[in-house]
Order: sequence, then structure tokens, then C-alpha cells
Amino acid sequence: MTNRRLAFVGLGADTTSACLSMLKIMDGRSSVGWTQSEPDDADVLFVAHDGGANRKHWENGDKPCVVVYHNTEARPAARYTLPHPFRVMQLIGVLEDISSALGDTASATRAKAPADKPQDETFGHSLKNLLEAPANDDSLYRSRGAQGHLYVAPASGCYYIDPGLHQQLRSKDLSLSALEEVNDPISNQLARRPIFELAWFTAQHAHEALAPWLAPAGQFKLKRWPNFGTVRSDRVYLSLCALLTRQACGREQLLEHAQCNAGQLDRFLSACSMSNLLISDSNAPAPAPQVTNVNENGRFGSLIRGLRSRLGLSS
Amino acid sequence: MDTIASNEFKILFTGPMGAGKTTAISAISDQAAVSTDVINTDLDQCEKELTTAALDYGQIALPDGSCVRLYGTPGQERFRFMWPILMKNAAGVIVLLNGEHQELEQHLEHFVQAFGEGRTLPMVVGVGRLPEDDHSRLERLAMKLEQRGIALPIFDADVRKHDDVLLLVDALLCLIEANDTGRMEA
Ligand SMILES: Nc1nc2c(ncn2[C@@H]2O[C@H](COP(=O)(O)OP(=O)(O)OP(=O)(O)O)[C@@H](O)[C@H]2O)c(=O)[nH]1
Ligand SMILES: [Mg+2]
Repeated sequence: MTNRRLAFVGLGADTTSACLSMLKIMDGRSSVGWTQSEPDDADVLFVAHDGGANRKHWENGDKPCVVVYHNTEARPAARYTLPHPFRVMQLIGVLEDISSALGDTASATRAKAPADKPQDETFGHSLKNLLEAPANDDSLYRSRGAQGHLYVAPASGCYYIDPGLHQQLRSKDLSLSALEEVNDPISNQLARRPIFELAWFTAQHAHEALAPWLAPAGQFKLKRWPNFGTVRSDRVYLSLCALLTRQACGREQLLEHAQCNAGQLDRFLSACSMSNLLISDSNAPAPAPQVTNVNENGRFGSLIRGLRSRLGLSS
Repeated sequence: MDTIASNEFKILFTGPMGAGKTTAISAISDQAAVSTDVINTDLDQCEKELTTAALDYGQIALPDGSCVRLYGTPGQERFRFMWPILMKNAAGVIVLLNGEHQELEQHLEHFVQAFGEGRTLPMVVGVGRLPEDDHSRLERLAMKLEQRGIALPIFDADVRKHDDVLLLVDALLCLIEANDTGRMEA
């Protein structure tokens, strides 16, 4: 197996971690093994489209450069490009092009890569990719689990699920296969539910508390609130949302504010991210403003505590 | 807002006719809401028999002697002059909407704007009667607000259910607490 090194220049930590976790998925399925290195030692570079002089410097060198641009921007004029966020197949595609240009036997790369998508692409990754794609995708996607199938119809904002399976989805990880496009007719035995709910619970019960594409040291902010009318949750989540729609915060601050444990916080951030509600910035850790636990110190502190207790809301 | 006495705590419920203001206040008030419901003479706007003519009032007495006051704005447009009066000194506002109504989007814009877009006072939006076959309606409303830079809690809520009313209130309390956090930083 050929080993090749790649390096990231000027890219956010969420992009690099997404890329690295996808490479992990591909590991052993391709005739080329990829490892991360410093730019000077790398065979291939991933550079940010808005990288300015830095991008120019590496593009003028002799190493293949993949220019990573945001999918809301126009595709930059470069030989190799990758829109962010990208899917595993897009990453495989560009790496295959590069390795054949570098003289690796492209056919060998392809031969071992599965025909449609890597077997281990997780359900979570495939769902995230679908949700980030443009909203006008009117195809139907299926995932298979030991206890039954579910179908996702992105354009209509809903998914279809067996009522029994639906109960389980709310409380545990269903070990579902990655979503794949199908032409099946949808049985009318299946319940039609909002996709948001699927995204939320999938991230909630995922194996890893913090989604691999989120940077632990990043700053987070919420674009919108999750619909807690559909996905019931406790006060901690309400409290986190209230702060995160006001200001960007790091994980430390959030832990302090909501008085919760790290696992709970990470599952919350992952669920918000999977549901496309989270803005994360891994590049600019703002100086942490002091967040005080308001329950003790706010103007209405004791009144709010009293009201919650009168209404039977947990304290 | 800074003039609120520390033992006065006022929560407003607003929204178009028939959205569920009286129902929500009654759900959590110590006594049934004191309403001044009269025969509805505006059946075009909403086909229901009774409507609240002036305002709803409810209260929750707390063990330490303080009192939480709950006010519902009257549904009919001709009572709109009362809104700013009710907003004065309020700790927060809960906007209730009828998800079945043809003018749902306009109602959202109208009430969110009239009560300060969550900037003057903390605001939560509850939408009832959302159609079973349109799961993206609520999300579209949230995105509409997002486009204007507004990120409010917006949940589906059936105010006939006690827990749904509590969710709206609890979210409002969290916003009030987060505001206090911000204020103390400043
Ligand atoms: N199906 C359904 N009915 C609801 C919901 N919310 C309220 N209702 C019903 O709608 C009717 C109107 O509710 P009210 O509480 O009188 O509404 P209101 O906002 O006080 O109305 P006005 O005083 O006329 O402005 C009642 O019969 C409620 O039971 C809901 O989410 N779903
Ligand atoms: Mg009423």
C-alpha cells in the first residue's frame, strides 16, 4: 500500500476534523493510506480558499493543492477543489484524482473502494451530509437497522419510521446503516415525522458525545432554537439555548452557566449541530467573558426559583 | 425595565384572537383566569363564541409573599392601545399563535414586532394546532425570524396541555436569567 501525507493550511478545525474522520472511515479500503503531516513534509495540501498569500504560496509550489471553499461561494479556479461541507464521496473523488496524477495506480484505489459508499460511513455522517445539502433534494433515502427501516425525504422535511422503531429512536442508538438513495414506495404503516427530530435524537444517542466534526476548543453560537415542543428535554438545554442565542461561548463557559456535566453539554452541542442550528468557530477563541451562575445572583433569582417550585418545575 | 420592583413579576401572554391566551393563563394561575369574555361579534377574524373583551388576569402567589402576575392581551385589534401599557414593567412575553390560521406568518411578524422582537423584553413563541402533514411549518417560521437576525424560542405547544404551558414559561425564565447574566458582565 502506498502511504501519502496530507496537510491542512488555513482551514478551520471543524473542516480538518471532518476530513480526518472521513479518512479514518476510508482507511484500509483504498490502496493509498493517508496520514496528516506538516505542510512542508506533505504530498498533498488542503488550503483554504480565502487563505490569501498563504494559499498563493502553496499553489505556486509543486505539490497538488486542494482548494477548500464554502459551498455558498462560487467554485474557485483551481485544478482540485472541494466545497465545504463535503461528503465522503467527494473527498474520495478528489483524492483519487490526485493519487492518479501522482502516479499511484488509480485502478487499485478504485478496486478496493466500495462501489457506492464506504460501509462504515455512519448513519450520523450520512444524515448530516443530507441535511447540509441544498434543501431541494427530492430523492428518498433509506437506512436499514436490525429492527426495521427508516426513510428520509429531505425536500419535504420529514422522515418515515415504523412506530415501534420510533419509540426506540427517542431513547437509544439504533445502529442504523448509512442512508442510501432508493426508489421504494413508502408503506402507509410508517409514521411521518419531522427530520429535525431524527437529527436531534441521532446526535443525542450517538456513541461519541461530542460529534467528531466539532472542535472541543471552539466557540459556539445558536442560529435558531431547537423545537423543544417536539424534542422534550430538561432545563439544562433551555438554559444553554438562552445563553447561546445571546452570545458565542466556549464549552467551559457553558458548563459553568448551565451547571451540567460535560457529556450532557457535548450531546447538546452535537444535536444542535446535526440539526443545523449551531454556528461553530474553531479559529477565533474569544476571550472568555465571565459567566456567572445566574440562579444565585440574578435580579429575579429568588423569584424565579420560587415560581419554578410553585409550578412544579424541577429546580 | 430597570424600575421593576424586585417583588413584582409580570408575564404577558399575547397573540391573535383564539390563539389560547385565556386557556394558557388559566392553566397555571392560582384561580381560573379572571377574564371578561363576551360574545364574539367578530366571527370573521375567528369563529369562536366568546372572546376576551378587556384582558385576562391571573396570579401565582409565592410562599415568600411575592406574586407573579399573568396578563393576557385582548385579542381584538381595537384594544391594541393597551399593549404598550401592559408591556411596561413586564418581565417577559409569551406570544401564542394558531398554526392553522391562514395568516400565521403575518401574525408572527405582527406580534413579534409589536412586542419588541425579544430585544426589549424576553420573548417566547408557542404555536398550536400545527397541521400533522406539514412538519416544516414551524421551522419555516423560525427561519423567517432568523433572516431578520432574531433567534427566539419557538415551539409547538398545545396550551390545553399543562406541560406545554410550563415549557413556554420555563424557556421564558431561562431567557430572563441569561439576560441577567449579560447585564452582570457589562
Ligand atoms: N386544538 C387546539 N385547540 C386549542 C389550542 N389552543 C387553544 N385551543 C382552543 O382554542 C379555543 C380558544 O382559546 P382561548 O384561550 O379562548 O383563546 P384566546 O387567545 O384567549 O382568545 P381571545 O380572548 O378571543 O383573543 C379554546 O377552545 C381552546 O381550548 C391548541 O393548541 N390546539
Ligand atoms: Mg381570551
